[in-house]
Amino acid sequence: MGLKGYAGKVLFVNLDNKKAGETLQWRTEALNEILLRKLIGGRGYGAYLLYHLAGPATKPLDPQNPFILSTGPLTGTPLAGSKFAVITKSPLTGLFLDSYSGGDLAGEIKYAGYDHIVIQGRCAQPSYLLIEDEKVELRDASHIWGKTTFAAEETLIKEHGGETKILVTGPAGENLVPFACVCTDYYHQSGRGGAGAVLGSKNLKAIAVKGSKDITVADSEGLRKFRQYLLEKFKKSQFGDLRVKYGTPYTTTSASAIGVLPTRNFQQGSFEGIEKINCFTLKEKIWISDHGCLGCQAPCMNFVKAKKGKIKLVGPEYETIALLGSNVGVDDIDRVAEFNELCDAYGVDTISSGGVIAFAMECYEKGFIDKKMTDGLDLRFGNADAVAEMIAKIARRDGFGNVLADGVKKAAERIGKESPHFAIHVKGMELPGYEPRGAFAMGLAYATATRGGCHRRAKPVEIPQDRFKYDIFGSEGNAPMVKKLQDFREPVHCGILCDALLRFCFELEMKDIAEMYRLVVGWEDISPPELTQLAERIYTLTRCYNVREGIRRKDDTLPPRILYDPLPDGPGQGKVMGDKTFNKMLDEYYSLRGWDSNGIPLPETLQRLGLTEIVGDLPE
Amino acid sequence: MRGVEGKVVRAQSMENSKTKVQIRFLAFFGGRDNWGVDLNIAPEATLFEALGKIEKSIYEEIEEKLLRPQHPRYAIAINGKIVPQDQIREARLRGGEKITIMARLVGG
Repeated sequence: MGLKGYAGKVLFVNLDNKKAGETLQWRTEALNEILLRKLIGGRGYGAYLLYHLAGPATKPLDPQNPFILSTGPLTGTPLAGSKFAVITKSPLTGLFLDSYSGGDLAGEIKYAGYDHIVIQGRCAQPSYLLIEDEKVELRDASHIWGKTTFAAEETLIKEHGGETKILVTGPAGENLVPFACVCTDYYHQSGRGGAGAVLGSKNLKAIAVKGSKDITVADSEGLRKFRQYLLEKFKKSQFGDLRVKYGTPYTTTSASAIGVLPTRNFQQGSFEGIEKINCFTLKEKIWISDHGCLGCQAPCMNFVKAKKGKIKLVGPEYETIALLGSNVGVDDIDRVAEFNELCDAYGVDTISSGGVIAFAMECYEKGFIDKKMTDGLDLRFGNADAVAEMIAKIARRDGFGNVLADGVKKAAERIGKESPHFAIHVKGMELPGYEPRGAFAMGLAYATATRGGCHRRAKPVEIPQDRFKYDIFGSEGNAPMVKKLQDFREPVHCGILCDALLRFCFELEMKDIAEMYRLVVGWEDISPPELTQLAERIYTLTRCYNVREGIRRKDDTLPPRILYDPLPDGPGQGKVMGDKTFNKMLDEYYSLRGWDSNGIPLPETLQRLGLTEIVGDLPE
Repeated sequence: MRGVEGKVVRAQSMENSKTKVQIRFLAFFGGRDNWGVDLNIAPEATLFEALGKIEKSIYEEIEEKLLRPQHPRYAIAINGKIVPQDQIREARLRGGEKITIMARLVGG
């Protein structure tokens, strides 16, 4: 193909009830060059593939639900923090899912000659997929089935060598826990939404990839200079050095002070034990060394070792400290690191695990459940041993763990009483580490994120008010800000680069993203307005996917506690978001997106964005 | 009775003495982060008065990054709770507070 940066092909694999050693059906298709300018790659192109491969009749754990590994033209180039996305229909929400991960696998997929790998069908027995350039084989996985992610990956690396990059799911994925994750390079997870359960449902323990090809870029000298420009931006960045020195845990202290740190199942926004779980304590007590992703100029991860831990691991990140620290009332960074290791080993998302365990703890303290139901566990907030035990029970679907293993929404339906009031999720996905009552715009960001309760599309809590004029405890300015933040991330998630890095360390703008595509792909005339329209197109495409699944305005909402109860502490103390403020933000947001008052994209919007082919899929 | 009297005596002597607060810098101030100073302040001193006791060059940095901007990218907290920008000058200290200066950053 004429365009640079791309490998040029999509690999389609049909597992088709095959056993290891049997000839596998697979084919490649050239990338559609017209679509590339409209959707680029990564989340955009992956969303297009999912839209056409998995309609409402396909259930998340059906063999036909595709497990799509997507990269973009910037992946594997010497730009900041290459990532890949897993795109599939989520077992947790039943909706569109994109979940990102760093590590070396992202580049390796491209080096093997593919931009996207689409896997459908189900193996007849536990297997793993081996892809080495044009060799695509199914191998026996009986020796790694049931093993932790760490053990399974280690075994496959011993068998294939360190140059082979592995994506693996853990026991939770095998047990179809809908928030099971997939892991790569030991320390990187596509955590959210249950991609691990989709892999497990296919009887596929792992995907091993090794490539021998190169990636060519349009302007290598220009790219070298752009890297220099990034380093200059980094030097001028106000907080890049803090990000590199401490990683994401740096912000736990400020989150608590600002009143947005989820505490005891979102009952509070500040945690009295914050100093025992913040980045400084992490550095002092459990830190070993720094770590970074492929091609990253500003590595921001921490290698740590928990006292009870079996290995050194990367983490715990901000979200893990929030959801498995303050949100379960545990003020011991060593135990939080231990929970992190357990989640990674079993292959469950730390955010959803923390969310559902905190929910159970509140049910326990309110007397909705007792020790008979919890298998004897004293599930009070702060009981670290109980948290560790519950993580294992969830992954194994053991006893009360089986009640929590289907996520907080279904757990509340089963436990009943007043528990749905404090089941903290949006569209079935547990909320991450930002209390929306401390910044109302965060509530709008959660309600309108296409994969459910998600912080990766827009994170208004981090935005200083000198960049956007908005009302922290009102509606003014929130909708345009949320839309703009969502739109900025789209071309980054199509690239695919690390959005956190671009934002925190380099403070990049849309013109910088356009320049990256010019240098790598060779689109000389690509501009910020074109990328903004592309962002609107992809956001609306993923919305159309969800609308086709039945999502409407009533689903774009927040948990009752978040909407109607005041926070007892922090700057947001006593403030209530309420229906009026929330609906005002939502109305304005829909209008900005060109969606009707029920959240359905208007035909003229689809036409403006070049999505006319899907007009007929939507209700009138 | 003796115990009660003792408490009264101690309370009176506190009012006439200076008291301490701790200021910790969790962001880069003075070219380094995660450091702190203990300051003696008069009882019921304001936060602004306490900040004024810090070494001049550091105070100037605080003024530039935190006090002067209408929407600063840094925040100041007393005992872990952020002080709204419009209350920094008037906030009262009783002594023993932990004052934290940090980047106004949230998120992973």
